[in-house]
Amino acid sequence: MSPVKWEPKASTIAVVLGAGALFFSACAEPAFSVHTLDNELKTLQPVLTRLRQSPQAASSGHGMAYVFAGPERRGDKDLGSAEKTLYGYDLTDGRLVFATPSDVRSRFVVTQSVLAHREGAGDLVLRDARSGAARARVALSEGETLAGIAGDEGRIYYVTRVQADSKKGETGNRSFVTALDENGARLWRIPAPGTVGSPAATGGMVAVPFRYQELVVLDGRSGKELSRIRQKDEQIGFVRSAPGCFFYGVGDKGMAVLDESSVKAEKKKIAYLEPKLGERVRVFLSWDGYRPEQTQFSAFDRNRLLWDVPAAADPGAGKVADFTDGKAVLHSYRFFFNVETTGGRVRWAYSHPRQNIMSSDLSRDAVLFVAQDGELGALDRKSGARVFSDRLELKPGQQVLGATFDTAGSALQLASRGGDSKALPPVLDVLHSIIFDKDSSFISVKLFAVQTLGSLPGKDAAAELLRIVTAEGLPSQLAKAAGEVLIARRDADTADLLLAALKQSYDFLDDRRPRGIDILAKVAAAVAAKETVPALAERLLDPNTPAPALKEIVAALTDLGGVGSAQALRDLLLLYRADASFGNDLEPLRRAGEGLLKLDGEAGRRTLFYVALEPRTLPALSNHLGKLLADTAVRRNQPTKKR
Amino acid sequence: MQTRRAAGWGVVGAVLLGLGGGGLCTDGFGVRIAHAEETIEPSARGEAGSKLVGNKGAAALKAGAGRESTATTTKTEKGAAKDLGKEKKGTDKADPAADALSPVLADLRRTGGPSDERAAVAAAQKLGTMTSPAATDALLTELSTGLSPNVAMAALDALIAQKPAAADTQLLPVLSLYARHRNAELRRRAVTALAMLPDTTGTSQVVPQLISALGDASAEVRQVAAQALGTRHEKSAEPALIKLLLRKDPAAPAALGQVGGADTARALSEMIGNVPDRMILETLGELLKRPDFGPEQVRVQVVKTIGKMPGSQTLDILSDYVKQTAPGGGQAAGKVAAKAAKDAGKDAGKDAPRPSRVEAQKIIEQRTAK
Repeated sequence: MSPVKWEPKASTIAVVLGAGALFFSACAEPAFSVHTLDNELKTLQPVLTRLRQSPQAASSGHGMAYVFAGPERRGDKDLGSAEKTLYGYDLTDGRLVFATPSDVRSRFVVTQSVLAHREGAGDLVLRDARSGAARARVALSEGETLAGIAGDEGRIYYVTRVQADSKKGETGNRSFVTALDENGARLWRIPAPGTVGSPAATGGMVAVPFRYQELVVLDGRSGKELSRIRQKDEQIGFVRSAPGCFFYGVGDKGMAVLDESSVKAEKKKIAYLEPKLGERVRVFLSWDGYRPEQTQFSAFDRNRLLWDVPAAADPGAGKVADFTDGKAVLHSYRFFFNVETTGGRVRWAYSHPRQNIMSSDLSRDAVLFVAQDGELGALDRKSGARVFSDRLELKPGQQVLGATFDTAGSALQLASRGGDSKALPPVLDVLHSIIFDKDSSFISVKLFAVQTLGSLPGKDAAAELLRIVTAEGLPSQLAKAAGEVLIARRDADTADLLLAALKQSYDFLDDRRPRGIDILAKVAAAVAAKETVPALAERLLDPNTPAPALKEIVAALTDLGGVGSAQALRDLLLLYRADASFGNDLEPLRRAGEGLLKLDGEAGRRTLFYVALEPRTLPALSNHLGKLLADTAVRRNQPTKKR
Repeated sequence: MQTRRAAGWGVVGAVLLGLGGGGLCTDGFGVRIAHAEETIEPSARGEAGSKLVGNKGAAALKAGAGRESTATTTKTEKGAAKDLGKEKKGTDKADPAADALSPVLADLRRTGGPSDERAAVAAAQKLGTMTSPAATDALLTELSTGLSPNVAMAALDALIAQKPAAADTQLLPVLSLYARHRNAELRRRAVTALAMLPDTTGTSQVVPQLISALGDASAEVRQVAAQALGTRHEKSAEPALIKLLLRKDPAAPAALGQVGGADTARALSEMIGNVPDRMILETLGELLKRPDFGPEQVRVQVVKTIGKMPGSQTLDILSDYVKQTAPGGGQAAGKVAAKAAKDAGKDAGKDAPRPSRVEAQKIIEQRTAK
């Protein structure tokens, strides 16, 4: 039986190919499909090409600050009845361009001549960016929550979300990405199964974080999905854009530039950047793209890292070396720190008088900000010097609640107004003013300032740290942090400062209370300041030394040694060995015994024998010292091994 | 039995400490140790000495380490035993007074339950009734080597009760140590004992400690210190007492009134508004009571200052002053009147009206008329 040969005819081939083409075109995956392949270089590459070829956004050359002011707010509640006003201020001309009543409920988005924001509970308003006049009002669909807005090439994109209704048997959230033209007409609207975060747009494309682990890039005109990245080892918490570039949050400490390496989808293999500013500062690179409440102006705007990344020298390479100049600006309430992103060294620090800075942003050369009282300002990015200052005349009862800056691309020219040629005060002075500021609400920035003090060389910085340790009324975390910094510094020349601090004793007459004795003791031991032994001995037997500090003093005296140390340890041990008030915390006495054994040789050992064996000694102490004597006796009795 | 053993423990430990060398015995505790054994009956020491190794040593050296460590510790123990032997010979010849202390000390060293502590407290009190140097020595020794707070309080009270005639060279270090004890009540008693030390010897060390105690955290300790300084008319304490008054401490007025002078009166008038009026009045009143306070012009100013202050206390003080300075009044009044007359100068006759008294009367009349 011979095999049957099938030889297709040309007409048959044509039919099959045609049917196949029809089949595949019919099966093209819609945006946000669960079947879409992710981490595909062949889909990402065209996106990157488009980004790199995208023209710089056309700009009028006028930088603008869009400032929202209204009554003081606590959470969602207004604490007054002042008018809510949107102010448009031209930073280049240095003048107010418009002021219009508006109940702004989101940050502003600017693209070309369009300014968009949420207004009231359920509207999106598109305005003329120069006059503030409303162009269109788009109602958000019933039951949908706004998750974010973005703008690019005159189009506005926004994401809304519908919570799953378990009563209707729904199991997952649904989201929608919608595009509007500059007049508010809907261009497209795409549903997404699951949670979509706040969008970012550039180069005619819009990118959104999706289901916490993915980044989806859509075409701005059609809404068609162009590419998808699924990070394998971390969450993608936000997406941000710069001209010709997308960034996405990777984990809670860093972010990545969207480039060819993104398809590798592991933190170590992608263009990942993480500012390292030290242990005592929590860095917010962007607000959480999945939390709708963060689309509004909030505390985030007052506590974040202002960063940007220089355009890649070789766009094809897709690699970004670092943050611009290896620096970023840390904004915390009233303070700015220009910090190196590797190590957190502070190059300059700025403390704004009295008022909180409500919003800030970077332009190429300046740090722009607006304060709660309407003061608009700009600092030179390199030196921190004030290069611009003006004030909005707010209406009665108003305070600034937030602002968004349109820096007009990279060429923002600021009006010559309110600049200050005076040199900034030394960093040490600024740090002092921050740490000792009576407002205790910004503890994290104070901790950062303490940490920064540690990186400043010289005795003055050490003296400042000691002041923090012993200061009255400062939060204990600061004293602790200052102590840790002092220990890490190991400044041998601080002994005289330490001695002076340790000599301070309680005095009712002078209303003086020693503070931070435990920390000072630790530092004295760390820097081997033997000069402090007499003062430490004094503090050990001082009735006003807090009980928790005793063990640290004992440890310091044991480390530092000397006749005075042994004497003080012996006095403590004998005086309190039978005192039940030490029953709850025997550690100081235990350590004193150990120290005495170490420092005082045979005499110390005999004292310990007495204390251990005398029946009135606290039993737990007696047992401990007995065991200690026994253990050390065994060791002493062992013949020395010859090497 | 327990009592005797406890006493023995104390002695053996004390001997061990005594062997500790010069470093241990520089002051405070160590120096007292050698005295302790003399007060204990020899039999108790011998018994305790044997138990030192037998019981405590063995208990501490469990799990096979006992033999080895016992061997290693024997150097010390042998030394202690050797010294004990010497001491035993010495104390065999001890005077009867020392022997009489033995049972009291045995009680003082009792340990165990609350009844033992009560017995120890009673023993300390009993020592307070004995005025022999040996009893003082015994108390100091016990305080030096550490007592529970209750027994220490009784021991300090006993020292106070003994009213030491001179500042024992050993007394000051021990009292100084307790004047800085973490227990405020012990500090108070230590300062009380310090305050009783006579002026003749050791004053240079006592007064600074009393002044230092004015800065104590405990109001009771400050009170005792201020009172002692006032009683001593310790002029060097005036700046500290003024600070105490500025801190509105109720202990200040009486003491400051006893040590202050004309400058104090002026300083007080400047404090009006910063310190409660009643405290200023009380201090000024105390100043006026003193015969040595003056001159008369200053008294007049003080009376005027008092007169300007509101409240009924003003009238009380001025009325007292008028009574006190009445010609032919009591002893104190006589002294004040005589001093005032002397201050007033040659022309002032014996019965001449004192300006300060006249001023006081005038103010009283004006105020009562209102």
